[in-house]
Amino acid sequence: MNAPRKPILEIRGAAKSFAGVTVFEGVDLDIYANEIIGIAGENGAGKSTTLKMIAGIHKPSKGTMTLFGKPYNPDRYTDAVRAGVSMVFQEQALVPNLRVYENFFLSHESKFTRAGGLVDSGRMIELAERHLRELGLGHVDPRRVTGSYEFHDRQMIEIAKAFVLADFFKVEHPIVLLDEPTAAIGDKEVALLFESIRRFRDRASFVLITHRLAEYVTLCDRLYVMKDGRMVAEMGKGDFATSRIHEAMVGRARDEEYYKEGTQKAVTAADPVLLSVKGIAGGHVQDVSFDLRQGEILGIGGLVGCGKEEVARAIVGFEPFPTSGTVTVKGQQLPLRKRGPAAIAASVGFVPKERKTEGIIPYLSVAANTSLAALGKVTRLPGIISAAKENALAREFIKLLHVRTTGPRQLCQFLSGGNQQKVVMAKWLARGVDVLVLDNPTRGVDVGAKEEIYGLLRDLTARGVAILLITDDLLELIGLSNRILIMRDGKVVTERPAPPEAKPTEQELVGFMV
Amino acid sequence: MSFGRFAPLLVLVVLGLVFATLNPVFATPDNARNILYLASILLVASCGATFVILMGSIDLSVGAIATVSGVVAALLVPKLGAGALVVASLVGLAVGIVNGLLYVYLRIPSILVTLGTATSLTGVILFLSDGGSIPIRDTGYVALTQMEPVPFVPMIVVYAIIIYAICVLIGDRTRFGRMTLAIGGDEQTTKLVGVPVDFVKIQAFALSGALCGLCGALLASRLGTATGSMGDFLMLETITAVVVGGTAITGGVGGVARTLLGVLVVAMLSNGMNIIALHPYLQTIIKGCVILVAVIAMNRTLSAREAT
Repeated sequence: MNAPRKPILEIRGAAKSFAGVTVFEGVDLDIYANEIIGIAGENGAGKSTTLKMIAGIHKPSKGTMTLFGKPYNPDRYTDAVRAGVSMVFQEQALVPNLRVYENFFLSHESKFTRAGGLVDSGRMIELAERHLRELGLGHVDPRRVTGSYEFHDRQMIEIAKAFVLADFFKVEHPIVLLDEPTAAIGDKEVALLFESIRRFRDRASFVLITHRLAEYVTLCDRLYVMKDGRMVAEMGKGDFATSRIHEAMVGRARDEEYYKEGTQKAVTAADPVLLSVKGIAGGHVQDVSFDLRQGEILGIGGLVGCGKEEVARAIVGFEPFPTSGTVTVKGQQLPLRKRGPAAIAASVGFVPKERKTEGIIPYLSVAANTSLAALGKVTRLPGIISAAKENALAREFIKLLHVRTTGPRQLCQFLSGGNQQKVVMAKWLARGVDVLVLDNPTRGVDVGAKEEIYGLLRDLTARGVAILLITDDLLELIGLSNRILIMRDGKVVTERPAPPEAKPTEQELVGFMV
Repeated sequence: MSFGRFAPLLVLVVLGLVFATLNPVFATPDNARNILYLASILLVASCGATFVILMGSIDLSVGAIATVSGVVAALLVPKLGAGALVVASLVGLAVGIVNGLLYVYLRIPSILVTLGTATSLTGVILFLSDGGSIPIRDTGYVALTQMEPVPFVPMIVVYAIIIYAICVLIGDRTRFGRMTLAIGGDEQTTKLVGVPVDFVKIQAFALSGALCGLCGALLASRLGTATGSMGDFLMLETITAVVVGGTAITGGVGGVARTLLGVLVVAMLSNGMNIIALHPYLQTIIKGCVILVAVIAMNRTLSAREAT
């Protein structure tokens, strides 16, 4: 292509923070015409937020954006669409019960009204048909109900919508943002999608985010890599291979003190097995088996969607979960029906990923949340809860876990994320657990509270609690675990011991993840 | 607690002063007795409804259950005397259990389930009462509610207070009460700590049904007759009382204790508007507005709390 081109979208020094927490800063990014670029990075690196900033969903806290030589400050997504930027959402933003053409022009019907306020659907259909034909999607009938098309076709319809609206708003060269477009489709559909994107490249530019690094290599002309909210690398075609990409993605220094590695309990084959999982399968999870011993922290790592969360759900009976295989706690096999209550009865605690909707009840007090799983311990007369006993229980855990709160009666919604997470822990400790299953226990938790939670986990293992740790945070996985399983595409692909003196590196593990 | 918690009390005082100024009859012992009758009837039904609303569900069959139970009670009084109260409560309990089962196992929203059962019950009522009213001639049964241990304070007040006290205890101090609050706060979290959420829901609808049944029988005793429309006012007024008292219509916030003030506000408003001879159509308009205002006030309190 002709050498010194001007980018159609220029981002300079962009920063974004939510409630004082910086997601990314100092981000520079260019998009040229007829180009497919990628933004790679670990979970939480800031790539998704960057994409949403371009789409007008999040406003940058700092920095400038220039589109087609003009300042670009979208207040909302529709502003971005008007300016020629569209996003293909992971969870598809098409209304399934509307016809294809109705989806194309949803919220823009006023441009098609005839005298009397009636919508001229004939003109809409005509326009839709022309665009679909031009895009080589002649097989899509704009009059058909959108939901009757397969996922892949709907994805094409969403991309087509970007072109239709760009043309409608007189934008010659739209930018289409693809947020994990391959997360929910199989290899065949991925190939079809990529073929179409390449075909559309002469009319648009694309920005891709995906968790499969190989896809960047196959599809992208240029790649940006983000780490901890910063752009750390920019690579040109031929310059990037998957190994180089993840080298750039990871590589943070791990502080042994932070993860209390010195107090990691040595676990041997002589320690009793508290949790035994055999042949868990279902959904896309295949044949996952492992044993977890007293005092051990077993970590399961892997990319989002690798199936590690489903394994946790199967153990604690959080529906829906993979139904094949067996889960045995202290020699007792858990039933398939009502597995949740059975797991709890067997002293299994579960700290779920979504703290606010699965972990705590925000409108209830710290005391009521703490006693939620252990009401039997705070009753006086049979069945009657004693406020005094409940408060005393809560105070005990507030002290033990250093929960920063005004007291047992404060509502949980007023606590910080880290302190809420301590309350979730307290809930299970108050009941008494032998096995603790943690799904991203420090997600959205500040650094100080994280360290306290790590200390607590070490104390628990010292007392013989067995911990299964599912986490997207690689350093946490390495630092905390005695042993690490890596999952990919629903299978366990490797098992690595992680004694304090010989912890695996991030790079070693990432090699198995992608 | 904050000012918001006592807003209903303030409303109560202001309403009382306004009505008393507009018509001195309002502030007489005879009228106080009328308000107590209405408030007691309303309190019995509202206590049960509070549990349902706390869970984030709603029971629209409150009035229909009360009516059908009242009619059943009136029919059985000649044979059973005061025992009719028990049968009426059991009828309410049965309907409540049906509501709960349909809600939980067919996964139908509670608003539709109870709308359906309420409509069907209206037909049952017509069969039972033959479209007319059933007078109660047993003076003993009438005296159950109307006897006055203290001048101007009828027995029904005593029953209502006992039921209220038990419900406050259930709500604040039992596992069941805590679980209704937790389900309204976050159903998923509650499920994940092993609470049999479905069972708790059925229990709440059963409790609401039983109390509505009892409420209907008491109403029949109070009126000395049972008619096919005697409980109609309850559906709207229980929901108003619960919400005005300070329980969020979306569940998770509030409690039975608060419902008392809401009941008093609603009873006083109904009575006062009659006393000052407000046009009946206008009364209905005002009652509708009260619900809206209460819901708006509650939402504001909640969002103000979220903002901090």
